[in-house]
Amino acid sequence: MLTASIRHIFNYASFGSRNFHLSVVLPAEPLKKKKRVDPQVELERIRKKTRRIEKEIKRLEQRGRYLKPLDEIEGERHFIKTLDSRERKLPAPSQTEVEQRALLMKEWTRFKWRQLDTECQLLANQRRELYRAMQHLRMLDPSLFELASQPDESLLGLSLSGPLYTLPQSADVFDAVDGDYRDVTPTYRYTFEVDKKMTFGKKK
Amino acid sequence: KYPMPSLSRLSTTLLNYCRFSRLPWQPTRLLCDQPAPRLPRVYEPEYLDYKPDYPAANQFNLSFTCHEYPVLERFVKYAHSLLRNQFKLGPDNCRQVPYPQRKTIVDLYQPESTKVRDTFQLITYRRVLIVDNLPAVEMSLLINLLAHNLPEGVNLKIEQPSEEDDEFRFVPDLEVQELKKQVELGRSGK
Repeated sequence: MLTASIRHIFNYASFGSRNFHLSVVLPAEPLKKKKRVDPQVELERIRKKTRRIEKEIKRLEQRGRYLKPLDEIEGERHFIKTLDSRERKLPAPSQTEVEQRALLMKEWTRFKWRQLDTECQLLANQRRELYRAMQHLRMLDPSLFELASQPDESLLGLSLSGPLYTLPQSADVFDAVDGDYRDVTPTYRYTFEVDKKMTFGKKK
Repeated sequence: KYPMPSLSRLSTTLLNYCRFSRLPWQPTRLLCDQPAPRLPRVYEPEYLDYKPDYPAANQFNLSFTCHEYPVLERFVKYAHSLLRNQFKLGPDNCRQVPYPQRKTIVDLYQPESTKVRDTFQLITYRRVLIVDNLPAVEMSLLINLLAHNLPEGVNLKIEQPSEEDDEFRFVPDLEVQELKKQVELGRSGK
C-alpha cells in the first residue's frame, strides 16, 4: 500500500526528470531503537532458564530409561507369524518308543550328573590345595602371602576363544576372499521436539 | 605337692624315650605346645576362630560373545550356575545381563575387483556376567575352568564394567541429551 502511494506520487507529480526511483529500502520501516539490556537482568534470565531446563532434565531422567528389545528372546515377527505353516503334525509315539525315550533320558541324566560331579570334585580339590598352599605361605612369609592374595591385574583384558571345528587350511585349499564389513546395528534414533522455552536458540 | 619337673628335663626325657624305644623317632610335641582343648564357644572369644581374610577381586565382567544364540545361551547358563553353586556367589554377586545384538553385513568381492559376488548378515550375540566379591585367589581357578570348557565359536573377554559399555543396552534419551546441550550453551555464556 505504501509502494502504491509512492507510485501515485511518482505518476502525478512532475518529478520525471529527477530520477526518482523506487528501491527496496524506500518502503522499509525505519529501524527500531535498540533496547538497553541490563546485564544483571540478562544473567538472571539465563539462570532462571537453565534452572527450568535442569528441572525438566531431572523429570525426564526420573521416568527411567527404555531398554532396547532383544530379538533372540522376543522372537522375530516373521517366524512367529508363519509358525502354523511350519509346524509338523506327527503321529503320537508308540509305547516302546516312549519307553526307549525315557530310558535314554535316564542314561543322559546319569552321564551329565557324573560329569558335573567329577568337575565339582576336581574344583573342590583344586580349591583345597590352593588354600592349603596359601596357609603354608602365610606361615613362611606373611608379606608374600599378602602379595599373593591381592587381585591379579593381568587377568583383566584377557580374551579367550573356544576351539575351532577345523584345523587352519593351506592357501591352495582355502580361498581368501576380499570383502567389506558394514555395521548395520539399529541405533534407535527417533524424532522429537523440544519446547522453545527450553532452548537458547536465536529468535526467529 | 610334688615339684613340677622343669620343662627342659621333661623334653629331654621324652626325647630319650623316643630315641631308645623301638618306635621310629618322631619329634613329639610337648604338652605346652599342644593347643588348648576346645571349650564350649559360649566362653571363648570369637576372634580365636577368625581366619585370614582373602581380599575380593574388584567387580569384573565376563563377556561372552557368539554368532549362534543357542550355544551361547547354554554356556552362559552353565557359567552362571558354576558361579552360584561352586563359587558360592549369591544373586547380588553374580548377575547375568543381556546385551542387544550387533548386526554386520559382509560383502564378498569378486577376485581383483570390488564387484560384490555374495552378501550375508552376521549377528553377534552378547551376554555378560557381572561378578562381585570373588576372592582374588579363586579367580585363576574360575578362568581356567571356563577357558577349558569354552565351546566352539564362543569368545570370552574379562573386562572392567564401564558406563559407555552399559549405555548400549538402553535406547538413547535424545531429549535429555538435547536439553543438556542447551544447559551447556546457557552456562558457557550466550
